Amino acid sequence: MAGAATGGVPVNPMQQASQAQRGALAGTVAAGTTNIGTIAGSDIGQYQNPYTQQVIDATQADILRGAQQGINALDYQAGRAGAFGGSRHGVALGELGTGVAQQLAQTSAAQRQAGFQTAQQMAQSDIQNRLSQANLGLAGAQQLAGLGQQSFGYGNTLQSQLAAQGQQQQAMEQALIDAAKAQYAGYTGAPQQGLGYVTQALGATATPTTTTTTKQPGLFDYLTLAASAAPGR
Amino acid sequence: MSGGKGGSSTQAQEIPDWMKEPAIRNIGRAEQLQQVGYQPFYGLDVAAPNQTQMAAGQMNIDAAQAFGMLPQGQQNLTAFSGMPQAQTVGGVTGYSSAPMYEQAVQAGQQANPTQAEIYNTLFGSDTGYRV
Repeated sequence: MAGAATGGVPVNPMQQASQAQRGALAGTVAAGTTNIGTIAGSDIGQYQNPYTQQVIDATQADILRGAQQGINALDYQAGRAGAFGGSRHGVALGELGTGVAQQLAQTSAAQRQAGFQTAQQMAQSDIQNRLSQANLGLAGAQQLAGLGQQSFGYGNTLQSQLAAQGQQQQAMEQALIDAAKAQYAGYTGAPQQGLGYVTQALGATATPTTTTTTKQPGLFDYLTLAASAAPGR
Repeated sequence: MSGGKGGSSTQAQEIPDWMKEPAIRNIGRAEQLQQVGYQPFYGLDVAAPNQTQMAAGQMNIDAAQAFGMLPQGQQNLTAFSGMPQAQTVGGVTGYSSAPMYEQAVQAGQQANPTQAEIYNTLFGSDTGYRV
């Protein structure tokens, strides 16, 4: 087939159309079969911050350090009041411990919850990216199909015009052939036509005839002649 | 004509020579012409596809090929494949029915020689015609 490829795209519009159509079909299939994924099916763990536990540990260490400072302060106050080791000192330390334990639990839970939400958002973002990518592929396939259709139209139009041009030429050649046949028919028919001239001329002319009358005289003719010739009449 | 005692008379009509002679010659000429028989046309009858049509036809085939639609074994198909060999006369390329006509006449002669013989005696036998 004529037409060298330019940048991988053939010059021949029908080849372009075929190539584009195949590309569009493949692109559509690829877009349609892309595994977009779901949150439920996602491995959220891969999105989790690997340093979450370290952050929690550091936070807990800070809380415990603060708690230790609180214990020290309670001990100092109890010592100065001469109540160190007393029941009130013990109650105060107990309340402090309860508060620290609650703070540790709440902080840890909050940090883990935040980590999970972030991981979930990242998984959702990945799903959205894959969906966008599939839509982009589908749009590309549709554009390719449109361009292929356009190329097919170009090819068809050019082919039709070329065929029409050829038909015009052929019609002229056929007219020449017909003229030659008519000339030959004139040649072969000329003798018969010549006969017709004479026939027509004879038919159109009133046929003149010469009428000749021949008379054979009878007895009365002679008697009449003799009587008319007699003297004294 | 009448006869008897009154005698008789005869009337005759004659075509004049200036009209009679051409009529006789024309009849003679017609008999001579009768000997000619059928004169087939050996020239072109139908214009063949030209180069432009060939190109258009090839485009069709190429399009079918591009879409993988040429049947198995037809990969080398060209425009107007299978058409008879055209001949060029006076710059015009076309097809003549003369070979088929001659073949048909020969086939007819072979099929019915007696009929063909009778047919042939109708023409060209009276070569000694004179007015």
